[in-house]
Amino acid sequence: MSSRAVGLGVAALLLAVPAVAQEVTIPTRSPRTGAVIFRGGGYKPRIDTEKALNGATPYKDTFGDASLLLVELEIQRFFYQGIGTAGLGLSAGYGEKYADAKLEDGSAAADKAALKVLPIQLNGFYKFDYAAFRWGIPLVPYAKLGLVYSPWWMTKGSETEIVEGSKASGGKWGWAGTAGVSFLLDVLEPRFARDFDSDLGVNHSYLFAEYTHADVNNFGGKGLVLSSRRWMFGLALDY
Amino acid sequence: MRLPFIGVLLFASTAVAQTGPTVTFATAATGSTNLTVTVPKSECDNARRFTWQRGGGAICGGSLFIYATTGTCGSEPAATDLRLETFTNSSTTTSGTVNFSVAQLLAARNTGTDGGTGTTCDTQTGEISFNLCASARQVGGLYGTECQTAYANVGTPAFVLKYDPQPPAKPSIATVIVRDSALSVQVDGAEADSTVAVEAAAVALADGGTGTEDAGTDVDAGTDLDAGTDDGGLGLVGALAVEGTVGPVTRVTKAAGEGNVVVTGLTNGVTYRLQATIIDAAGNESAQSAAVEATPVKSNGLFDAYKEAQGQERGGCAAAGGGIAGGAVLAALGIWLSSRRKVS
Repeated sequence: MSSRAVGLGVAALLLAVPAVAQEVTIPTRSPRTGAVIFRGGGYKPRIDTEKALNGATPYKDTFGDASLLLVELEIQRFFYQGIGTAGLGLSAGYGEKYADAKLEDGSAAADKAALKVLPIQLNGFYKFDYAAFRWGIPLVPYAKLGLVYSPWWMTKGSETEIVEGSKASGGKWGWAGTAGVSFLLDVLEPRFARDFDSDLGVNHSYLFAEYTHADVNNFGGKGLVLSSRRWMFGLALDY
Repeated sequence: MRLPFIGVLLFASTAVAQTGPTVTFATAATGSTNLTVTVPKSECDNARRFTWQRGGGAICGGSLFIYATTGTCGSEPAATDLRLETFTNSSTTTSGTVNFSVAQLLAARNTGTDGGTGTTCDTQTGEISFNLCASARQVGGLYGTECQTAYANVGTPAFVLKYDPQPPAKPSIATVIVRDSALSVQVDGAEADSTVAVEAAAVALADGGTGTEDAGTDVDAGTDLDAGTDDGGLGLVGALAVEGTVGPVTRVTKAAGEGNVVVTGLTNGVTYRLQATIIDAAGNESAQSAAVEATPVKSNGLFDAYKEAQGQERGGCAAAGGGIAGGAVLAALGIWLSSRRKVS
């Protein structure tokens, strides 16, 4: 065997080693098809803005300026992944607020009054994550527009209230627009992010803040106004 | 040497396998908790029914007895025990029932030569327990075929009939929280595993109505309860469960230790007289607590305030359609997600 042949063999081996190493260290990205989102925030229904109330403030009189604590779970599916990501999402949440019921003289009664809501929203969304994935900018702005249906009920003590023959429960339709920005957590711990993907199929994780303008009043119909303007915060996981 | 040893071993195993008769008991007696059937004083004369089923080997020597005793099972019944069934070698019945009351059990204890303790349903003041037993002579001996003179307990499971004639101590009403159309009553003195019962009835007034106060209620509760009075003040009328009241008595029960007893469905502005009793696990009821009076008061929740401010929401049926729509959306989402495919 000539020395030239040995040299070629060694060179080929040296070339092959990086190729093998590269194959081992570069993780395989799992497909990205949707997201799961958990969020929470204060929800203050604009009940007192109903025109028929003529300036009366039953919500404020009962709960003061306090908001309901609203928690929501949203599931999204991506239908477009190119310059950003677009798709459909459906969320369901729950919020409640308790306060002392009032006696006729305005003092606190032993019973607790409560407002409970269960907002459900079907929305279309777009998030500009191109810059995050392409150029490593970890901020992802996004927007949503959706249809809202919000079951609600009011209780006093352990019973749903009935006043003048009307039962204090129902559901309101409306719409909501949301704008927010997500912070891509992958940039903080890239290796952990890769493991999260390879182990659990979670491609990306985000913390986000978003502002929602919701008009939930049966599109301008009579009755209870469950509209709100609210900030919410949460965690999103692309899978 | 091995062969005789194997032979003895085979004989021994046969002897072990040869057992005497067995009896299996079952019951659906009221008040049965696990294997203890608790009997209150009020049901001392009521018979409890147990079924039995005989199995195992043949009866050897004497008899197979089913009986109830305050002692332990596994012997021939004593004179003070209540014999329920006796089987001899020739008995062919393999199943049946026995019915007996605590009164019979106490009476049997009085018939013994020692005179027993001489108690009856009325005079037995302390708890007393009776074991339901089946006893028979067993086979045994060197070859496993000899009828033993000693009796053994052959009845399972070990049911106990427990007579509890002692009523719980009289409770007290510690607090009454006035609520809208309801009263929340805290009762003290309840023992574990007991039930708290609260009775409420409207107090009669001198004018023949009930004690109403103007609490802003839109329910006129003071006109349809017509009852006379005999003392000019809060009338003590009738002989209802709650003394000095008129109209229906509302009784609410709740397990002890689960918080206040809430009497609902009351009329705001009407004064109610409340009394509490405790019912123990056996069913004995305590004496009634001292009466306490309270008046439910109307309060306003959010919807009250909203309607008072002329809010136009009517609630109710409008929710149904939306609820169905919402449910349909959720169902569609579920189907959509379940059919989801990952793109490779």
